[in-house]
Amino acid sequence: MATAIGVALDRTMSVAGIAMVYLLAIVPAALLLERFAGLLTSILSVSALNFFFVPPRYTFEVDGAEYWWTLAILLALSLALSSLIARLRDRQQRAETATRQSLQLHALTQALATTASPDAMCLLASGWFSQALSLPCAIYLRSSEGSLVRYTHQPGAAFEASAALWSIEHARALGRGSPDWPNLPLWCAPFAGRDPGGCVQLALDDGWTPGADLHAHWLALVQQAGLSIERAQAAEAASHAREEASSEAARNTLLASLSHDLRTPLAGIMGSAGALRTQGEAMSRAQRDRLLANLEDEARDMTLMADNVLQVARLAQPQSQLRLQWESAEEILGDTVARVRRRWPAARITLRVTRDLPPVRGEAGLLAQLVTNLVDNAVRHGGGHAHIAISAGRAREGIFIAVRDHGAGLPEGDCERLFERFGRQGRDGASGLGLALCRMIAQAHGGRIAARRCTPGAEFRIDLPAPST
Amino acid sequence: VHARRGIQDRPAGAIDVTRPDILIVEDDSAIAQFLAASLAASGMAPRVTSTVEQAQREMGNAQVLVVDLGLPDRDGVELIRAVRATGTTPILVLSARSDEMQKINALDCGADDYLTKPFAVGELLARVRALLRRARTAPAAPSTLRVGELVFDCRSRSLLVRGQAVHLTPLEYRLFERLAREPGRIVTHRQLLADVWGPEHVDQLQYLRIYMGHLRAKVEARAAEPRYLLTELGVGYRLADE
Repeated sequence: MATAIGVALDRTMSVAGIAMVYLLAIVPAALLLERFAGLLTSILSVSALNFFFVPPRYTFEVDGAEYWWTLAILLALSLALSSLIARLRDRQQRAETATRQSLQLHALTQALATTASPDAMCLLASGWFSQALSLPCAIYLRSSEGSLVRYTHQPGAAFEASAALWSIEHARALGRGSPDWPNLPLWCAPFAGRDPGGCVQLALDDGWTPGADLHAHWLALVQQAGLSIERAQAAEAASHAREEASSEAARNTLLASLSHDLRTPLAGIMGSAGALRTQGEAMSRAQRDRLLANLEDEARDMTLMADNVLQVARLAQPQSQLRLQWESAEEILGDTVARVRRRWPAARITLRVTRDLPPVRGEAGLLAQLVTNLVDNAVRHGGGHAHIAISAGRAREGIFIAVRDHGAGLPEGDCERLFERFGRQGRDGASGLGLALCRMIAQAHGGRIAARRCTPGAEFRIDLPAPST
Repeated sequence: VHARRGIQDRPAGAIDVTRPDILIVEDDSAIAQFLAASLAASGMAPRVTSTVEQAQREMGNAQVLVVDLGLPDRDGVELIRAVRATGTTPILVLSARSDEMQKINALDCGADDYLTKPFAVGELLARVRALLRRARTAPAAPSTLRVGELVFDCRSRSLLVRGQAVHLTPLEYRLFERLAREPGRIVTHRQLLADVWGPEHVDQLQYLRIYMGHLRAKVEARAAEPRYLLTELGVGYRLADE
């Protein structure tokens, strides 16, 4: 093209002017082409100028020193220009690569921040690597038992567990382009540190060796991923430890409060039985009857307590399963009321149930125990002659069951605290186990329980989901 | 509540067999002792065994079996199956709170009634007496049943409640009739569903709940606190017989 323009301008411009046109052509060539192609363009341009424009035309011969100078200056200029431009372009490309790589590093960190579980993070990271680098990727983690666990989305790719193990054990990268095992069709780099917990492996196509720059970038990515994964592992281990410690603490509180609570009825039972045995004959019939009734009452309290402990232990297990059936709240309440009336004959216990309540999915025994605990709690706070009103009806998303007493009311403070496991209520001898179990049962049925202050007394309300009919 | 079973029922005082033979199968000696002591004190002749094998050996002509479900050698349910294979001796099951499923299984296999430990002596005696009474009158299935304010005639398919005839739909009738066949006896959910709806419906508990609700609305004065159609929570239903 420069030659064409040169021909067009031939009449108006000298050879030096046409040389300028060639110089102009070299700039885009150096910008767009590789470094060597740029240099080649310079040489070709000088040759073309010589051939087409320097007399004698259409030969490579040169007439006179002036033309030699022109050609030499053009060559020097064009070489300097194209190499300058090429260097500039290289620098810019390196800067762009660095920016892209640091963006990639940032994107990886961001991607891994979306999950906290080490397992999920490894899968996520291996997916991220294979997408971002367009290479099959696997992440290997060393498990606590010393075996290797692999995470990948391309299980069919040619990964090598032995290479992963070598890389982790030696804490060094290996594979194509590395000093170690350069002939393997893969590249593998461990997480940072002297004792890495895992490594990242990339499966490489035959005939391609990544350069040192790329290796350095990959290594940065691997170490970043490793840092995130190891941090997640540490967090998980810490949370396990905390959980264990807190369930250990809960168990200890449970045992402590149980042994306290068991002592009270046991003392009554031992005392009554002992008195009857040693002094029974000297007692009046009424005194004996009272002691015998005490024995039965205390034993019954212990039974409820034992049932509560049994169910707390059962529901506290993470894998506990309810035996869910279609149950009728009316039947459960009817049965429970009949039993608590026998237990507390002096208390006035009333039951009001709305007709045609929808059935609930539940375990009858547990729901009955829930209501029994609430009534038991109400009687204890309302005295033997307590008035307790139990009602059930439709609620917005199912049914409600309410137990209202007219006793001394709730202690000061947050009502929610009443249901905290083993949070002692303080007003009576019983531990908070009963109410804690109430909440566990309500929650296990997808429902909730709440307490509120009334004048006089208190109301406990359970909401249970039921299918809309 | 005054109640009499069947028209040819004899008054309770006129029992001709004294000291009924009761076989206790219980491995906990404290419980076995108090069971034996209280049964003996109320005019029965208890014998105590502690394993399934011993019980099978010493079965004899026991009139009622009291069987604990947690026995050392074999499952108490096995004993119940063996007894049911050969006869109709009434069986009362004693179960701990933790073997709920086993208890229902025992009833499905033919046990007549259950008590959950711990229980009061009065309750035990009432159950054993009821079993003895029912065993004695069982062969002559009465066509007319009177329980409290209910009069049920299965020949004319009529039910009177407080003197008023009550209309039952066919399913309600079959449900009531199934319970009235053995008044006082627990019929498990499974048995009721199989007998009234058919064996393929044994898991459809919601049918049973709905029809029992309808039946109670027609029979009971207060459906939430039934006097006749009694709930055995998580187990089944029974028609009161007294």
